[in-house]
Amino acid sequence: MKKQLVMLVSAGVLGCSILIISCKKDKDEPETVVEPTPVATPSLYSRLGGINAISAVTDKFLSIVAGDASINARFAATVADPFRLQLLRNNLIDQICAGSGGPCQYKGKTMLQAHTGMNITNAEFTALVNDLVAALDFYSVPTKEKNELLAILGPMQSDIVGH
Amino acid sequence: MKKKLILSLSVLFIALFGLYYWQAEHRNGPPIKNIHLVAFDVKGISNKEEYKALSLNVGKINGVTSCSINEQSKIAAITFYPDLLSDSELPALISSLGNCSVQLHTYEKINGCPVNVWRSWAHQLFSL
Repeated sequence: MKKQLVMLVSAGVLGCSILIISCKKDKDEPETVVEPTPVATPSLYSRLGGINAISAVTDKFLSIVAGDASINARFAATVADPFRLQLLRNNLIDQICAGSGGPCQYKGKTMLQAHTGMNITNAEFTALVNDLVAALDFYSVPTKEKNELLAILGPMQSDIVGH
Repeated sequence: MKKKLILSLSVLFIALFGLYYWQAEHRNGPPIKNIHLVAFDVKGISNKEEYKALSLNVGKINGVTSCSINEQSKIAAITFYPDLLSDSELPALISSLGNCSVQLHTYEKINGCPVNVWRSWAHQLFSL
C-alpha cells in the first residue's frame, strides 16, 4: 500500500516536473513575434463614397467644364446631344469607378482611340485636370484620395494629348 | 419558301446583332440615373460672392445635381434629372434666385468630340 503511494507520488512529481519544464520558456529560443493581422485598406472607390459620390463629382466636373471657355468648345457637340452627354458621363463614371477598384467595367474606347484627331494641347489637358480638381475640392475630397485618383488618370495624358 | 428563309435569316441576324450590341454597350456597374446638361449666359451679376451664392442656391433646387458658374465666361452650367426638372423651368428659377437675366448659351463648335455620334445614335435607338 505504502509502496503504491510512493509510486503514485513519484509519478505525480515526475508529471508535474515534465509539465513545468515543457511550459518554461527556453531563453535561448528567439521570441516568436506575433504579426498583427493586416487590416484590409478599403478601396479608393469605397473611400471616395461609392457610385453616388463619383456621380456627384462627375456632374460637378461636367458643369465646370461646360462653363470653362478654354475647353468647353470641345464638348459643344456632346452638350447639345443628351445621348452623347449620357455616354460621356457613363464613361467617366465607369472609368473612375473601375480605376478606383469599384464594381464597374469601362466599356468605352481607349483614351488614344477616343482622342485621336482632336489635337488636344497640353494647355487643354491641364485645364481639364484643373476642372477635375475643382470638382473634387467642391466635395472636399481629402488630399490623399484626390492624389490617388489623379495618379490613376495622370498616365492617360500621353494618350490624350497631341493626337 | 426562299423569301421566308431570307426573312427569317434577316430577323435572326438583326436579333443577334442587337444582342451583341446590347451586351457590348450595357453598363456593368451600379445603376445611375440619366442627367441633362444645360448652359446659360448670366447677365446682371458682377460680384464674385453673388456668383458663388447663386451657384449654391441653384444647386439646391430639387432635381439639380450640380451647378457651376464661371466668373470669366459668365456661363452657368447645370446638370439635372430630366424626370424632376425641365430645361424650360430653369431660366425663371435662376433669374429669381440671382436677381439676374439668363439666356441659353450657344457653344462655338470645334471639330472633335470624345464621344462618337454613331454610338450615340445606336444608344438612342436601343433605348427607345
